[in-house]
Amino acid sequence: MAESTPMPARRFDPWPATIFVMLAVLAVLFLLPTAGVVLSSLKTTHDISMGDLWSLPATLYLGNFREALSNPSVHRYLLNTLLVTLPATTGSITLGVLAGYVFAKLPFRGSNALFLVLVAGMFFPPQAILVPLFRMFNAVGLIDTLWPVIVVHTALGIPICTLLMRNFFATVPNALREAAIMEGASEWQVLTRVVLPLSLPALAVLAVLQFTWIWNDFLWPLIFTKSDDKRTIMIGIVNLKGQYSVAWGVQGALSLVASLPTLAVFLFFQRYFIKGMTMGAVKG
Amino acid sequence: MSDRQILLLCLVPALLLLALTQFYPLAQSFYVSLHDWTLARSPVMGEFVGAQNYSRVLHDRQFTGALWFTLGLAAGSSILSVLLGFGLALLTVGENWKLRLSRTLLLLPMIIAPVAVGTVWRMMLAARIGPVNEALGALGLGTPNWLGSPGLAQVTLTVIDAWQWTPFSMIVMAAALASIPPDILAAARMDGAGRGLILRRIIVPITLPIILLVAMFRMVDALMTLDIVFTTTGGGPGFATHTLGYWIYVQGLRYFNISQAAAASWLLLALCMATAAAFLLWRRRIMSWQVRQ
Repeated sequence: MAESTPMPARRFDPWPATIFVMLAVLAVLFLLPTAGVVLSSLKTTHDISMGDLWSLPATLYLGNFREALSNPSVHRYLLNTLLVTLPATTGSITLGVLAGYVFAKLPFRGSNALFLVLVAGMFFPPQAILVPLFRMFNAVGLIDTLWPVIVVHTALGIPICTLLMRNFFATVPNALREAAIMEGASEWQVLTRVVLPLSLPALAVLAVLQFTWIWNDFLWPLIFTKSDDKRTIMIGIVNLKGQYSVAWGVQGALSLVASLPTLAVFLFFQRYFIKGMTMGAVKG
Repeated sequence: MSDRQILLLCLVPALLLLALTQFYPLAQSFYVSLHDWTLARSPVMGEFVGAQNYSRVLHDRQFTGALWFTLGLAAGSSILSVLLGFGLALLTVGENWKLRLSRTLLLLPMIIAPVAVGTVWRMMLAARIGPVNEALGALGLGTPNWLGSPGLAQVTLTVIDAWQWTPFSMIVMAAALASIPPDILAAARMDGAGRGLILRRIIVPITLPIILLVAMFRMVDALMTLDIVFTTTGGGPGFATHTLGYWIYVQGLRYFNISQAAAASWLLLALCMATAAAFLLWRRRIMSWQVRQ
C-alpha cells in the first residue's frame, strides 16, 4: 500500500460542471418562450412581423397594453372568466375533498369500485363527450350562458381532486382520527380540524391547478358560448388574432395580463405547499 | 342521521354531476359510433352498422400513424416532465426569495395563455430567423427545420408538451415533499446519512405513490393532446404531427364524420383506461413491495 501513487490533491470531478451546464441550458429553454411573450408585448406588430421579435426593445413601448386594456370587451372577458373559474374551482375541490375523505377514511362495501368509477372520469377524452353535451345543454336552453362551462368544469375537476385528496388523506394516520373520535369529536370535526389541516399542501396545489386549468381553458367556452359578451379571455386572445390579421403585440400583452390572476393565486398558495419542507428536509 | 351518513350523502352530488356530464354523453357517443352518420350528408343518424366504424378507423393509415405518434409523444413527454418536475421540485424547495423567484419563473410555462405559448414557440423555432437557429448557426451546428421536417417536428412537439406540463409535476411533487414528516429527515441526518442516501432511501420511497400518480396523469393527459398541435404545426408537415385528439377533431368538426369520430374517441378512451389501469396495478405492486420491506 505504501508504494501506491499518492492521491492527487484535487481529482477532477466532472459532475458539478455537467450538472451546472445542464441546468443552465434547461433554464434558458424554460424561460426563452416566456421571454418571447414578454418581448412581443413590448413591440409593435409591425416590428414583430418584420422579424424583429428577439432583440431587446430600445424604448419601452406600452401601446399594446393600452390597446388591450382600453378595450371594453376585454373587461367583459376577464369578468366572465372569473365568474366561471371561481365557482368551478371551489365546487370541484369541495366535492373532491368530501369524496376523498369518504374513500380514504370511511370505506364501505363497494367503495373501491365506486372510487374507480369516479376516477375514470379523468380519462375521458373531451372529444368523446363534446357533441352530446352540447345537445344536452341546448335542449335546456343553457347554450350561450356561462352555466354549462361552470357545470362541466366542476364535473371534470372532481376525479383529480378526489384522487389527490384521497391519497393525501390516506397518509394521515388512522390513529389520529380514532383518538379525536374517542375524545368526542364528530366526523366533521375530524375532517376540518384534524385531517384537512394536515393536507393543506394538497389543497393548495389543487387550488392552483384547478384555477389554472379552468382559467386557461379554451375548448369549453368555445363550444358553449356564442355572443361576444359571454366569451372568456382565452377566446378573446384568439379573436384578437382574427380581428386585425395577426396582432402579435396586442396578443402578447393580453396574454400577460390574462396570466396575472393565475400568478397571484400561485403566489398566495405556494406558502402552503412549501412550508413542510423548510422545517428540515433537503435544506442547504 | 349520523355524520357518517351525511358524508356518504355528499358523494351523491359528485356522482350525479359525473353521470350527467360524462357517463351519459359517453354512452350516447358509443351509440353513435355503432351507426352511420356524417353530418355533412344528413342531419339525422343513419342505420346501424355494428363495428364497421371501428374497423374502418383501425384500417385508416392516418389514424394508425396518429396512434404511434401519440404513444411516442405521451411516453416521451410524461417521462421528461416527471423527471424534470421531480428534480426541479427538489432543487427549489425552501423559503428564501431566490427559491421563490425561481419557482415562480418555472411555473410560467403552465400559466401563460396556451395560445400565446404556441405562437411564441413557432417564432422561436422559425427555420431561418428564429433565435434558436441563429444561435446554432453561429456555433456552426446547422439550422434544423424544427417544425418543418416530419421526424423532427414530432420530437419538437414532444419537448413543447413536456415543457408546458413540467410545472404541473413540479408543484404536485413539491406538495408531496412538503408532506414528508420533517423529523424522519432530521433523524436520518443525525445518523449521518448523506444527501444521496436520504434521497434514495427516504424521499423517493415516501413520494413514490405520488410520483406514479403524476406519471399516470401526465401520460393519460398527453394521450389526449390537442391544443399544442393546433397552435404550432396544425398537424403537419403532411400528417406527421396528427395526434389522436387532433385526428378526432378533424374528422368530427371539420369533415363532420360524427360516427367515425365517435368510434375513434372510444378507441382513445380504451387506450387511456388501459394506461391508467396498468399504472394503478404497477403502483399497487410497488406499494405492497414497499410494505413488505
